Formats: sequence, structure tokens, C-alpha cells
Amino acid sequence: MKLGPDWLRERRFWRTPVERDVDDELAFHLAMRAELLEGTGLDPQTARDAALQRFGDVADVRDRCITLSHERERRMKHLETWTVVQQHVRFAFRRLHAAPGFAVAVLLMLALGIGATTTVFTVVDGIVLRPLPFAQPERLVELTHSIAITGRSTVDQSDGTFLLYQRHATASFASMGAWRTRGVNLGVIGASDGGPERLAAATVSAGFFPTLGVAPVRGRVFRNDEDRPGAPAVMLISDALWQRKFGGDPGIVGKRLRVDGTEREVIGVMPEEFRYPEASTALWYPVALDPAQVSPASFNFHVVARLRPGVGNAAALAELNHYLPRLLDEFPFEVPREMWEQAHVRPLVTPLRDAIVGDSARLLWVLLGAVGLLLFIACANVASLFLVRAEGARRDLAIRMALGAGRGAMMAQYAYEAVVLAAGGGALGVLLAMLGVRALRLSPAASDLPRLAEVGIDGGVLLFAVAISMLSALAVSLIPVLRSRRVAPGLVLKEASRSATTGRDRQRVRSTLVVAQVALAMVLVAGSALMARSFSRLHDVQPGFDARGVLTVRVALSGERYTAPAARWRFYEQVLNDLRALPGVRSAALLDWVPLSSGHDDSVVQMEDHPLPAGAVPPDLPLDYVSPGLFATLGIPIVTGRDFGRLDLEHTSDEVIISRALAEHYWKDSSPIGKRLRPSLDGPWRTIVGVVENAHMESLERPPEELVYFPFVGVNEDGTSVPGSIAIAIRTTGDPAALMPQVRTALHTIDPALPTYDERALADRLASSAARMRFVMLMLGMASAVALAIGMVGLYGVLAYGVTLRRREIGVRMALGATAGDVTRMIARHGIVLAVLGVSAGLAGALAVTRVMHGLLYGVSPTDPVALAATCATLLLVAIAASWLPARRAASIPPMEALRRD
Amino acid sequence: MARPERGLYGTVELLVLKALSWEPSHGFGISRWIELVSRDELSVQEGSLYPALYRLETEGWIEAEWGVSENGRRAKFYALTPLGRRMLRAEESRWRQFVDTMSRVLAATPRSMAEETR
Repeated sequence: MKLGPDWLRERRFWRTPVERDVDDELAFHLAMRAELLEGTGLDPQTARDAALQRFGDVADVRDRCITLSHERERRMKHLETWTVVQQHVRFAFRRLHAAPGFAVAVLLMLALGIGATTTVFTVVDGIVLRPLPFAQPERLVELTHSIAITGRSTVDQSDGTFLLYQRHATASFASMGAWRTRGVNLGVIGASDGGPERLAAATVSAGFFPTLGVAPVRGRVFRNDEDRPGAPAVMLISDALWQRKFGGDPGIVGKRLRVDGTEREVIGVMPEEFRYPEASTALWYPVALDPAQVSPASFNFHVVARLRPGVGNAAALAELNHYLPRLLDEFPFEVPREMWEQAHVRPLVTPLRDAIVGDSARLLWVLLGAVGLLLFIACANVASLFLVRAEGARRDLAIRMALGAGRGAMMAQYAYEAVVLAAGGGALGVLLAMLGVRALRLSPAASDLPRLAEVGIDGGVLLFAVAISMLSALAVSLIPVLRSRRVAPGLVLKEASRSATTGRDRQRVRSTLVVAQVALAMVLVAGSALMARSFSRLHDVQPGFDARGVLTVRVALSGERYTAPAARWRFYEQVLNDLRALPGVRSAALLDWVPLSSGHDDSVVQMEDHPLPAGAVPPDLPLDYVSPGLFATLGIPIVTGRDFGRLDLEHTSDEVIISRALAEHYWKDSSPIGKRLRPSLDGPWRTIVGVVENAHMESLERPPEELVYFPFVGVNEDGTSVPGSIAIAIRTTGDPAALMPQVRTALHTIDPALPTYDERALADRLASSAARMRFVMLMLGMASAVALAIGMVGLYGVLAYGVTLRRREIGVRMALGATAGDVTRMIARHGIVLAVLGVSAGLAGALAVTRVMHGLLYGVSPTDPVALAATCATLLLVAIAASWLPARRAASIPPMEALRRD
Repeated sequence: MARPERGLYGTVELLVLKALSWEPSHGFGISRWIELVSRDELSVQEGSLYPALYRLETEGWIEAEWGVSENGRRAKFYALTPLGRRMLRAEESRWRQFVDTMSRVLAATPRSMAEETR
């Protein structure tokens, strides 16, 4: 029989089935047509040629048919897989619907675990993992210096070092920018609404924006010559300020605003997502850098730099080190060369992300670890529930297997149930995470986290949630699936009828899971116990001042009106007089550094009777400028000596007061009163007239500062000096917050153009000073409470199920004379043995793991015996409570009923 | 998977569906039927029939099965699926509407438009 042209037949033996089918079909067509033509009288060869002719391009048709066939097969395969999955999922749903208690318990547990883990991962992702929102952020670094002087180990940059590096270190760095933050008074020219406003600003060098690689949404950034003295007064504003103050006015560029009394032209608006150096920075304006007028030893600037492609930190560091010695030759220098060399100033290069994230990274990783443990515990518990379910279905399973159901199908059943539950748990978990992240962003406890505004749930986070959900599904279904392979139908069917001690072996797996849960819970509880102890230690710290009833408010004098010290003094004098006259005000005084706030002055300080060897650098000490009566207002006791006397423009003073810590450091065995010191290398000496009690100025966690208090009206080369920005402390008899409006009114009556800011009760600062520790404590506390609850539910479940399994045994024992007490003890002992095993394992784990919390703790060692003992005791007590119910239930089993069952 | 709109691709597909609406047939039978019914006026290249058959099968409008032809040869038989039958009915009415519209349009004169607007 002839089937088409020869070439169609020859290649047949290596063709795939699809191709063979196509070939056969086409060959049939050609053969039929040829036969038909032969019937009209053509000879066979002509008939075959005519058939091919009528058909068209055989090879082309063949190719198209084969392609279409393959596509069809692919579609069929997809459809088939999908149908199988659908069937399994539907079956899993049906089975779960039949066991709603189980399904809900598993869903909740997984949702909790996945939700908590996803929440913290979102934060870790937004703060630590995600690249900074700048162009090629991996090439951005922060430049600082290490320094070897008392009181400091690192310093930033001075105008001198910045100009030096910018001038020379061009092999490693493509560009660099200097910045420093400051608060400014913003007045809108010609605007009637609202008074002046206090805003966070950054003064930056011209290279700042090009280095970060960000462009404004409107207008332009600074030109290269705009950071020199005499350059036009220009500035950029933030999107937030543009929207809030100017309603997104498209004509904003070119407007002139008053910043600290200077008119500045707005030349551009930065994009909304640009939040550097601070999330609150509302405007940027150029710093005036004059190479002839620098102070190379005043490290007041931060510097961000962009590495050239392919340049590593080491090469960059080497180049900086190479040029730093030129500093003294190229710039006017205010300190002796010897001293500069003794200070051992060395450049440091830090990736910008590390510089921004800082030590928050550790805190976040610890929290992620904690919620990861929580997820483990939840999975262990769910696995245990699955096991019970699997045991319950063993008989059913055995029958089905005896009837010929495949093992694969049986295993798939559990896997699908787990996947369905994990998918549901994951979805609920993501919802929980959305709520959690929102709560976190609003929580004042998290407010000191950097980059918080960038935290949000995105594709990466969702991927993470899906991944951990599927991992959880795998984890929880693994044990029942593995164990279902061991089901021997005959054995199960026999065992399930009448045997005395069923399922002991199976209980062993669940007991192991319970021990693991207790151990993991123990690690978490130990962590939060350590945090709680740190917190209480911190709470016990005496701040050194009496915060009750004290209100502080800052005011900054700006504009030409206040250039003369006399004008400033008159303002302050009137403020104090007016405030003291308010009802409820007991006293009011001025100071520069408000306790527990950031930002203060510091300086090298020389003690007259402690001369240093030539060239040695004097210690760097914090300074405060205060008015008489400040110590009484803040409740800081004077230890010896006296407060400053009367202070005004005529009565300036060369006296200083020091903190007890400083007094004890230098004058342990003698009185410091009458000794002299100076906050400079060559200025006039100041006489110590008093010693006041230590106060924690920076934070409660740090030791009290060695602090020098100067009278706020001072004398310098130009005559009297009065600071232009100061805080006012007011002690009231009542609630400081209630006094706030009156204080504000009093200040505005004196000068309506001055904004007040940083208005806060001192007690409020005290309460929030431990914010970070409270945050960690709360997070760990919640995680461990949930872990403890889940772990104990697990313990309870195993014991209760064990009692069910051992009903017959218990019945026999009681029939043979065991008392209810014996039975209770027997079951409770089992629970306690499990708990002790878990606690021992957990103790070892805690000792190994709590070490990572070093740095988050205060006054407590990571292996603090009190915290660990309390943790063990808590777990054991809770375990006894969890064992109690099943034990009691066991004892209440009537022996006859137990024996009669089955 | 990119799916063409649910209409037919062309006339060949409609002819195939129509050919199969009476009884299952192999490709050659369909080709013969078109030839006879259209009196060879719709001169379709016989080859182009086959890709159309495969496309219709992929869409699920027809299904194929290997069988034995009337003269005892192994041949692939196509039959209309219920979905295919529904599609055929829809396509037939669409074709009729199209033809009606086209004939009306082609029969129109400038005057008929003027009458309409008057």
C-alpha cells in the first residue's frame, strides 16, 4: 500500500508520535486524492503529482500542524495538572470543613506566626535590607574620623578637612558633600496667616545633592559656586513643606522666604521620598565655605561621599590618609601642631547605609529572630495537631490502603490540607502584618528608628510571606506524611480494636514536639525577662533632677533686632519676669542643654592645677549655659559652694559650676572650690564656685556627665555675649502641660515674630527616654506571651490526648486499687517531665542565644541568673497548671466505663 | 496564553464546522465535501485545511479519533463537540447578518441616501 511520497515515509522511525500522526494524516489525504485521480484515468505517477499540486506546500502544512499539536498537548497538560490540584484542594476543603475546630485552630496559629514574622520582616526589609533611595547607593559612604582624646572616640568633619578631601581625594571619590542640621525660624514674607514656624533645616555644600544623585521635582539644585561667602541667598524646600505651607503652588520657584531673618529665594522643591539627612528636614540651603576662614579642628560637619566605580573602602581610606597631613599646611590652623598630632585623628570610611541604620539593625534582627522562634513554635504545635488528626484517621487510612489506595495519594492528602491551611494562614498573616506595620509606624516607641517612613509592605515582603507560608506547610505536614508511610494496614486494624496500650510510640513524637515548643518558648521568655530587668534597672536610675512640674520650651532669637547682646538680654529678662508673674509658676530660669535632649555644646577643657604635658590634648567635656536659679528650678541640689550670683549686662561673671562627677575626677581629695579651668587652650581662666549633683543629661543609660555649667551671660573678646537660642525651664505647682498656652502667649506678647518649639514637660522626656528599651521589651514580651500560651496549649493537648489513649490502662489501674491521687500524679508527672526536659533544653538555648542581646540590655548581663531563674520558674509553674486539668480528668474516669469501652 | 477572540478566524474554519455538522469525517472527506458543495468555486488549497483542523481541535470545538476509512485505511476522524456546534450556530447567524449588510450596502445608490435624509 502506498502512503504518500517517499520522503514522508523514510524518516518515520525517529519521529515523535505527534509528528507521526501528522505525517500519517497527510499521507492518507494524498493517497486518497491520488486514488481518486487515478480513477479518472491518470497514470499513478501523474495522479500523485497532481495530488501534491492540489495540496499545496506539504512541508509548510506539516510544520504548522506539528506546532499546533505541540501547543495543544501543552495546554492539555496544564489543564490536567490544574484539574488534579483543584480536585485535591476541593477535597482538602471538604475534609477541613468536616473538622472546623482543627481548621480554625491551625489557621489562627499559623496566621499569628506568619503575621508576626511578616510584620517584623517588613520593618527589617524597609530599614536594613532595602537599598537607600539614592542613585547607586552602594557607592555612597560617610566620612568620619577616629580620634584619641578623653571623652571622644570619633569625630565627623570640619570645614577644613572637608575642603581638603574635596580638593585632593579625587582619585577615589567622584564627589562629596558636607552638611549639618540646624533649626531655623521660617517666616513667609507678606503672609498674614500663622506666625513664624520652627523647622528642621540642613545647610549643605554644593556637592551634597549631586553626590546623592537626587534631582528636584521642580527647579534646580545648588550650583557649584553657591556654597561660597557672598553667594546669593537661595534654598530648596521639601515636598511636605511645599504642600503644607504653599498648597503645592506651581509658582513656588522664585518666591522669597525669610529664614532666620535672611531673605532666601526658593530655587527648587525636593521629591517627597527624599528624606535626608532627616525625615523632618524641611529645607536645605548652602553653607558658606571660605577656605581662608575655616576652623579645621572643629568637627561640625557630616560628609557623604560617592566612591568612583570599582574603588573599595580600603583604597579610599588610603587616599584620605595620604592627604590628611596636608591639613595643617593648607589651612589656617587654630590648635598647636603638636596637639593635633597627639590627637591621632585618622579618617574612617563607613557605608552610608550602615551610618544611617546604625545600631537599630541589631535590635531588628533580634526581633526578627524572636518572631521566627514564635513561628517555629506555632508550626510545632500545628504539626502536633496534624499528628493527632493523622492518628485519628489511621484506621480509615489503613482500610483505604488495604482497598488499594496509593501511598502517594495518601501523603498528598496531608500535604494539600497543610498547603490550604498555610495559604489561609498566610493571607490572614499578611492582613495582620498590615495592621502591625501601621501600628508600629504610629507607635511613639518606634519613632527613633531610622528610615521608618520607608517601611511598607511591597512585593518582596509578599514573596517572603508566601515563602514562609509554604515552608510552614512543608514543616507541619512532614511528620504525618513521613509517618503515614509506616502504616501497616494489618497492624493498624488489629491495634485499633482491643489492645491496652495503644499509640505510645506515636505519643513520643508529639512529646518531642512539646519539648521543643517549651524550649523555644523558654528562649523567648528569657529574652523578655532580661529586657524587663533592664527596664526596671533603668527605671531605678535617679535622673539627678526633679522632673515633676517642670516645663521646658525653646526660643531662638533671629533677625537684626537681636544682633546686639543687650537686645537679647532685654528679651530674656522680660521673658523671665513675665513668666514668673504667671499664676502657678514657682520659678523660671534659662539653660542651653535641656536634660534628656540631644544637641549640646562641648569643648576641650583645661584644669589649671592639672597641667598636661606639652602637646597633650585636654579632655573634651560637655558644656551648659545657665542662668542663676536654674539648679533650684530643675531640682538639682548644690553639693558644695553656691549658685551663680546676680547676672546681667553689668554683672557678668567669670565663674563656673561643675557636676559632682567632674569634681570627683579631678579633685577627689581636695575641694574644687576656687580652682580654675578654661574651655579653650589659651583663654582666660574661670573660677569654680560650686559643685552640683550629677544629672543624666544625654540619656539615663549613660553615666552622668562630667559637665561644666557656664553663666549664660559671658564675656569674650568682643565684650559681653548672650546666646541667641536658649531654653526656658519653668517649675509650676500644677500640670506643666496646662501651663503651656499661657507660656506661649507670654512669649508672643513680647515678640510675636518668634516661634517657640520643643515645648515639653520634663517628666514626659523622662518617660520617653527609655522608649527604645520599652519598645524591645513590649515586642519581646508579646512574642513570649504568645509563645508561652501556644507551648502550654501544646503540652495540655498532648497530655489530654494521652489520657484519652490510656483510658483503659487507667481504668485497669484504678480497678486494681490505684487511688485518684495516684492517677493524677502519674499524668501530672508526665507533663512535668516534659516541661523539665523543655526547660533544660531551653536554658541551654537561652544561654547560647541571649548573647545577641548584648547592647540592648542595661545593667544586666545576658546570662543574668535572676532573670533566667525567674524564667525557669515561670515556665515550670505554667507547665504544672497546664498538666493539672488533664491529670484531674484522668482521675475522674470511672474504671468500669473505661474498661467497657470498645 | 494568548487566545484569539472567540469568533472564527476565517472561512475555512466555518466550512469545516459546517462539514462536520452532519457526521464525523476525516480531513479528505471534509475537503471533498467542500469541493462538491461549492462546486469547486471556493478554490481553497487543500493543505490549508489541516492547520485549521488542528486549531479547531486545540480550541475544543472539534475532537479527533483514529479510525478506519470507508476503503479500509487508517484515518483520523473529526467530530463536532457540543461547544463546536454552538459556535457553528453563532457563526452562521453572524455570517448571514454580514452578508445581508454587505448586500444592502452594495445595492445602495446615492439616491437612497438622499431619500433617507429628506
